[in-house]
Amino acid sequence: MEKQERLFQIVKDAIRVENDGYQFYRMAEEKTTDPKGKEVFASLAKDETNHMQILKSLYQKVKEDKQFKFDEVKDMKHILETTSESPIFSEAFKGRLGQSHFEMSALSIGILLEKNSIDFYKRSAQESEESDIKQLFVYLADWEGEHLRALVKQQKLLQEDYWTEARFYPF
Amino acid sequence: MLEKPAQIIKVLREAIQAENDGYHFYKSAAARTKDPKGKAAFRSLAQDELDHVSALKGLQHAVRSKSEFKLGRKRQAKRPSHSTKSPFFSAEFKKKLKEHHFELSALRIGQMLERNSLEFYSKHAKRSRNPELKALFSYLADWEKDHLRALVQQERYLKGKL
Repeated sequence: MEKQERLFQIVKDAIRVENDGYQFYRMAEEKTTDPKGKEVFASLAKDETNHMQILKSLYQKVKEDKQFKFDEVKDMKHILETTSESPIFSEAFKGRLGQSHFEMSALSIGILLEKNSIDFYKRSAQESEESDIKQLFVYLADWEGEHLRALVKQQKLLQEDYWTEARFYPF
Repeated sequence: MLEKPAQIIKVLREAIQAENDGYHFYKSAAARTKDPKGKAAFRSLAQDELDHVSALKGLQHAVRSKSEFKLGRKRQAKRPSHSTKSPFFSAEFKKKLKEHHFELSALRIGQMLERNSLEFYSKHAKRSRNPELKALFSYLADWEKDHLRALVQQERYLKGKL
């Protein structure tokens, strides 16, 4: 019983973490003027919604059936496409970089959010004793890792030019 | 240890970027919340972050031009309290609030940003031998701590724990 209560607390905290990401990406989607950026932030928000659904289903299954099968959720489609050279913004975005202060901040904040989620899921996986639940938290940590890599890749691609154009550059 | 001007400028650049992140986040949160009191509170936080950018740029300029940087007057000036004045949100808004509202997420994301800045300033204040940078970073760390405390308090207030 105590273990189940602890698991429910972890799930509630996880849903809160995912919702923070969802709310942030929705705001970023609304605010950016780059069409590809809009699409990608919407995808990130959708992924966070999917994570919330998985977590809610974990909660329900444990509450009603006292068990959870990782196999039932592991093939969920990942919305974000991370393979392109510029995974978040359009190629044309670079030309407007000097005015793209919000977008550069959105990348930094997204990175912090994803790092927090990964740490949270890794800690939760370590704490969990049930194999299927452990697998789920590792799976979610990996999924957030995909988001993190895309955001970092985009930030690296733009950071130096942004600092130069926005006059942050040291010399 | 932070001693060389190039190292100091690099750290200042990171600090300016982090403050800018906070500024853009709070400004966007102010635009997004529908509660007028909440709007004013987020705007105040955004203004504080801009003030931090201005102090950091002052030191950056002094390091570049090898001129003197005086934190004295800034430190003596009372920090504005409106950005940390409780409650951030109106009583009517609190009544209507549900668990997964944007505003609760904004308070938690704000906490994450403030915690990040606090750690950054504390770490570099400790590492630096440059007295101006040490003084400025300690001053900003205290200010971010006030923001963090206020945001934690507001989350508890909205959840009915205060």
